[in-house]
Amino acid sequence: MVTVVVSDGVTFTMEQDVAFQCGLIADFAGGGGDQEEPIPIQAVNSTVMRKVIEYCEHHRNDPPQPEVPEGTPLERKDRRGRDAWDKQFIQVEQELLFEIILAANYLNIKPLLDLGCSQVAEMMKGKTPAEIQQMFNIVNGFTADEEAQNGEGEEKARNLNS
Amino acid sequence: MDHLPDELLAPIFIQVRDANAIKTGWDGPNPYGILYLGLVCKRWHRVIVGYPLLWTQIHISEFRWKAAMLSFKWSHPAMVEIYYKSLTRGNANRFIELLALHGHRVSRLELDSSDNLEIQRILSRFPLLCNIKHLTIRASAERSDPNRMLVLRISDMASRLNLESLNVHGAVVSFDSPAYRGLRQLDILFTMSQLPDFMVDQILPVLRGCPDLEDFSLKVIGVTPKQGLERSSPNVPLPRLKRLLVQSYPRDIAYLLSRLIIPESTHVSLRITPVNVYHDDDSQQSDTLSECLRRISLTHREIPCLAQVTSLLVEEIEDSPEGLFLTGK
Repeated sequence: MVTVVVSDGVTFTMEQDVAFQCGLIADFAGGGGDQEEPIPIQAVNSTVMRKVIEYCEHHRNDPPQPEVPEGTPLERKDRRGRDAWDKQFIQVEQELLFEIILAANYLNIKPLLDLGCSQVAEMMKGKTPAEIQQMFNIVNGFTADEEAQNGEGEEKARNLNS
Repeated sequence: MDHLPDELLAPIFIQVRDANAIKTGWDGPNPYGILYLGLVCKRWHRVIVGYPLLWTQIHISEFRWKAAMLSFKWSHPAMVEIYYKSLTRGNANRFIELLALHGHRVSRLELDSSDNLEIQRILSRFPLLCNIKHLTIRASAERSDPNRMLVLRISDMASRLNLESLNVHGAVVSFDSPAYRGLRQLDILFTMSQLPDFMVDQILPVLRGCPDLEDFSLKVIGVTPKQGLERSSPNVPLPRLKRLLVQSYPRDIAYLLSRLIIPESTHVSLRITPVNVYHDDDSQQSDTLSECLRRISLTHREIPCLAQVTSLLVEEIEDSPEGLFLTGK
């Protein structure tokens, strides 16, 4: 068994095959037997850690994924296809979604990171840049001149279609 | 979103790019592609133009051509994959200009054009494409004029190429001596209306030209001509072959298999097209499903390469528009 303690002091104990899906924990534990001391995970809070463990438990028997995707973009896209459980799992509030992405990156869980990124990409689907700004509450930061240039760029793109 | 570091924005942008998912504000394809995301905010723009992996694939169609030229940052050192689709003639000139400057950075090239001359012009620049590993050509034109039939003479380029896989749809390839040893995967698909003079024995010099093949697929759709086949040509050894797929008229399948020498472990898939076919006695009749099965089961015992592969076990029979599907080992 492996025990971790997260940023708000909550401890989680899990089986090795669940815990070792987190590259960070596997590296910390060194692949050895049970850990006596809890492993500190300071960058993740208990709410997010519960979601991470839920994901790792569901995927504990998955075969290892290839490191480098191959094939055409379409094939790569197919390979990233999410199953129904994953789709349901990642349907969370925007703030929690970004925390899961950060946690997956910190804990080094590539499939969860891909899933989170995929969900953000899905949220952008069919939206204009202005709609994306609004959805994520982004201040664009462009100067007035840059705004004008952006407008010209869009106009040029429209003309290409004529 | 603001809390995500730049290195996490990039994989999100890659997924958006692959899904071609950004709405451009008008109907039709998105000419700016990934660069359009840079209009969201200054930070995203900085990440997009500064992250080489976002620029390793270029999709070029007639519509997107100028935009691709505008948006691609050639100063990045990464190798690129180019997917070129031409809807009408006349796009090749600027594409060839691009290849003249940056062809050595192309690792994968897919050409999709209804203009054979355009394809041949692009391929004539192959000295500039010495680092291509994967080449796909889709010649989509239906041609009634056999003089415009597209035959790619790969051997002319072989000495300058490092191709590992070649997929040719709507055309046939020609390999002359010397043998091209680098090729591992070859996929040829065309309809008889595209290559009306094709006969299956033309494939043998092709296979002889690439003896290191591990994966070979030949799909011929439509009725093949009834001319006699060259029975005296020597057999072709393919000692590294792992997968063989042939889709054609039963006589052509049997002929091709009778000329190949392949390892026992090769996975053999045969697809028989149940269309009106010419029989050896010059009569014409329609092959039914059972007739096709009967014919292949009769002939396969006479095929040396299948005899080596223990037997042709039918694992799956699928009656599809493409024909019957038999898989054996």
